[in-house]
Amino acid sequence: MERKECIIIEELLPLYIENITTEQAGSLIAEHLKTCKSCNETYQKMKIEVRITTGSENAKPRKQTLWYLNSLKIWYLLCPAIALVCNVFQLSSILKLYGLILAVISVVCILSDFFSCGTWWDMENLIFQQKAREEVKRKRGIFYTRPILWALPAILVLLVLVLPQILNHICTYMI
Amino acid sequence: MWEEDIGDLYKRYYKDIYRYVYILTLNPDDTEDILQNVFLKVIKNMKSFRGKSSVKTWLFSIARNESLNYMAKNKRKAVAADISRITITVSDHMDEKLLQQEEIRAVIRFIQNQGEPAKSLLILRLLEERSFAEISGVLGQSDTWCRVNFFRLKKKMADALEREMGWDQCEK
Repeated sequence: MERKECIIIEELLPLYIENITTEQAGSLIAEHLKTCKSCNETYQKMKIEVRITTGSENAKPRKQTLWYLNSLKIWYLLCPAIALVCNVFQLSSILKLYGLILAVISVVCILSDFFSCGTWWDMENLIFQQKAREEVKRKRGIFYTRPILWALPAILVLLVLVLPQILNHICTYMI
Repeated sequence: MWEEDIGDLYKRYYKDIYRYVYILTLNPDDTEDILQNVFLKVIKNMKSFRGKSSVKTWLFSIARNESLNYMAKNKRKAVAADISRITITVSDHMDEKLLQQEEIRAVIRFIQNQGEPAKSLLILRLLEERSFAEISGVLGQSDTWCRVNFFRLKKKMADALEREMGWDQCEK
């Protein structure tokens, strides 16, 4: 007897909680809840109020991620552009210096790739880069986060700069 | 009736929709991708919106469809890994309490384990106390379905927490 009633009461509980039962039904349910322990428990559980909130401070794209990707893009353009400018204006001494700098940069980047950290001499910058990389990693995959990516344009330019000399060497050997 | 331009909509509803999609996916990057798709779709379909429901309801149903498609297409499964941004309060008329990390995780896990309309129903209702009428518009279910199932799910949730966390304090 009690069981059957409980099934029906449980079915009506949502309406009871929302106060949209008729008065008569409401008082019936209230009475039942007083006497029936299991139904009362169900009632209490249904009545719990749960509120979820999420911080929205991150609802916009993060500056760090943008900074990382944008500076990467600029670097890719700038690196060959400087070499080209030097070449066009026949600034051979500057070009040599530039090649040296690029060689240092690429060595640093490749080494950093092995030790998986960017600018180890600057702690603050390191942490900053780490954070930016983590964001980028989640969005673009692991490749974009490797320091070697920063070395690629430098290596490319170096290759172009050094290639004539290498060819020269080979030719002289051949002869 | 579409004098309102997309910028207004974006500004007004971005956060609300962001929260909903975030709880669905639990991944900030996916959430951003989905939000982009949602507003693209809104721009595309603005003309076909007839005003059968409120704008907000319409936006949320687009957000829901986009999220589900996105999750299916990219084979994503929401994992409650990073829950640092989520806070949950529980109150039973007498006192209010903030849930601990583990409890939050349990709640989120419970929500994620539900099948689809139920999951969205829980999220939409628990996030901002949306009216059942509004939710029923988003989910395409009847008002009564939402009402009854919401309370049932809440009971189930309390049961699950009780089992997992040894929760008693909440049911006095």
